[in-house]
Amino acid sequence: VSTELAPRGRGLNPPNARFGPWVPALAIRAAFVLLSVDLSTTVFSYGLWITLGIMLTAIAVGAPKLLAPWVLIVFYGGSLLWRAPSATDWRFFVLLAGLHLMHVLGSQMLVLPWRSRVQLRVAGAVLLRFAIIQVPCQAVSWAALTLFAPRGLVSISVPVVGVLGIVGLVALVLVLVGPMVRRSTSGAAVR
Amino acid sequence: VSDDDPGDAVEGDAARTHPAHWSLTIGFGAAVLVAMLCVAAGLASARVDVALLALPFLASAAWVWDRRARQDDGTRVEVLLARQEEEATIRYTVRVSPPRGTAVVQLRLAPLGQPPQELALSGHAAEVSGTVPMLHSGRLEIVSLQYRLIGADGSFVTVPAPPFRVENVVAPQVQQISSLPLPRQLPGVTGAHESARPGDGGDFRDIHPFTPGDRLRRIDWKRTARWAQSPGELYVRRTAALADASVLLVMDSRDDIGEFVGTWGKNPPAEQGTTSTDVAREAASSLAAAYIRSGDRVGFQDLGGDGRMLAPASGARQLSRLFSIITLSRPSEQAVVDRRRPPVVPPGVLIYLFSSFLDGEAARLATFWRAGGHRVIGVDVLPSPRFRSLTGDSQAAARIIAMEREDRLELLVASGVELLRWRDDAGSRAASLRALSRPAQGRPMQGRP
Repeated sequence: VSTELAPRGRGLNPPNARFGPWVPALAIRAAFVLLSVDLSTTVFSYGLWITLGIMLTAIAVGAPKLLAPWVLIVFYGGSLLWRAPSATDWRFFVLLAGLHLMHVLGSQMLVLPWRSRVQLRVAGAVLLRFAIIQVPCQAVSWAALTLFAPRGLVSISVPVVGVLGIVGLVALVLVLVGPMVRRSTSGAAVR
Repeated sequence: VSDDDPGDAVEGDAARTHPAHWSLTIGFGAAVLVAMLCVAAGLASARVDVALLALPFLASAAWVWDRRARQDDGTRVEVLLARQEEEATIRYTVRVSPPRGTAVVQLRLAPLGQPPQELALSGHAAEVSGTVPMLHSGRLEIVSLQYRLIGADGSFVTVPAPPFRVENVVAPQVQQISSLPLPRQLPGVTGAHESARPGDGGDFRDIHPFTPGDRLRRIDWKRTARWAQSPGELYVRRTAALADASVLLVMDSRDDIGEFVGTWGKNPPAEQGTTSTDVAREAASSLAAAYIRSGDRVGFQDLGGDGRMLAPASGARQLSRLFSIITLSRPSEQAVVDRRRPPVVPPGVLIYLFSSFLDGEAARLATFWRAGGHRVIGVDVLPSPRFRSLTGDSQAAARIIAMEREDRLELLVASGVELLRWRDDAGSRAASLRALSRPAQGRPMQGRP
């Protein structure tokens, strides 16, 4: 038993825990709503679809465990079918980034309670990962649309695309298989 | 922190390691499903742009799958406590070291029994700190926590680790006491108080005819010359013997009632203010220290139900044992509500009964001991009630309870039990103790510590 003196009781609540800069988890939901409403008005021009998108957004934010965010993603993705593919249509690229961001935000909404306080470093890491994935995806999409869109370059570039595809596949195999082989070898050495 | 399972309690700094059991979330499956739908729709409609929508989902799924954490890698959690005496606070630091592949540490933290705070910390440097005030004495729950780990993009999560609580023991304040009441009899053979028996060390007691065993230097020649009726008749001056007192501190720790009446029944540590157990610990520690310093024997009995007791003894080691047992006494679920007979107490002992007297059990025991010939002092440890944020019905109920308690205390006094209200005001407390220490009929003189 320690011998320190205890002051007589006071009605005092302990202050919040400190862990650096943070944002409330509600900000994730707010960002999801803003993004979804923005995408809805961007990809749809008919009021009924916009209204449906907003209703689905409300469900997604209220009950992400019902997988409504991903239903919403499919809903917005389906809007492409009413529009001709084009490498010069900015809406496609906005949709590509927006749907990915909706998936990222939806995943966070799924696992983090709305009352949480989220360390800013967590949000930074999520956005950095989003950017790292999004940049090559945008580039590949632009290239693919440029080549394969109805008014693209596909008729004159098929052999080039084939060669590029094979080179890409080999590079992908090297990138993915190399670390796996190294990991299994190092694991065997440890055992 | 789970309401069902409060978790294990750890005293002082704590460190634990838990294995992490990872599982996929439906978010990961949804992402893969969306990607497959996009590819299928793109192929079916011969639309490259629709198929391209699958790219970020596939890349994201591949990323998190490649960087997933290994099953059963341990997570180490450390909780460090540091006392800040000047501010009367305890600083805690929670450090979580998750395995590689963890993106977020979701921590549920409840300092001082408050509603838990939900925190999402980076998996690279998960450290949280805070301070809690030392509101109460005794075993104080500093922080309770529970956590789970989350992989990148919320694709993997672990099973929540078992919750655990970190506690610290805070000793009560010890007040200085200048007047000590004494028992009706002082059966001891040595000590600092004058007893009714003749002996050495005390002040003048009486003049008595010489008996075998009396020392010759005690003969009062003047009195002998005046009073002696026959040759050989001698008178001696007798002094009082010194003796120690036996004191038994009985703590009624069956309940812990705060000063804010609105918190009765819920007992949130941060909102109940000073509690009856805080006051009882302070009163018992102060009296124990004062009696032991004056050379008396002090024992302890807890009515809390798990049989904590200490036989009367004196000395510094006994005082240390008393501080320890008093500090750790707290309400127990095993408390005996209705005793068939009161605990047996040593003969000739002065009994202090520390209780809120909100029910009749403590008063019944006090009356029984008093009827057995002991001097019993009931110490009222109920803090002055405050009626903040109480409805009209609750206020009426609280007043009825208070009136019943006052009636109980009046009956107690009428049965011969003396009453001491242990209040914040040191002056009135000292005056009450002086009044109780005053010599009365059948009571020895005041003790001086």
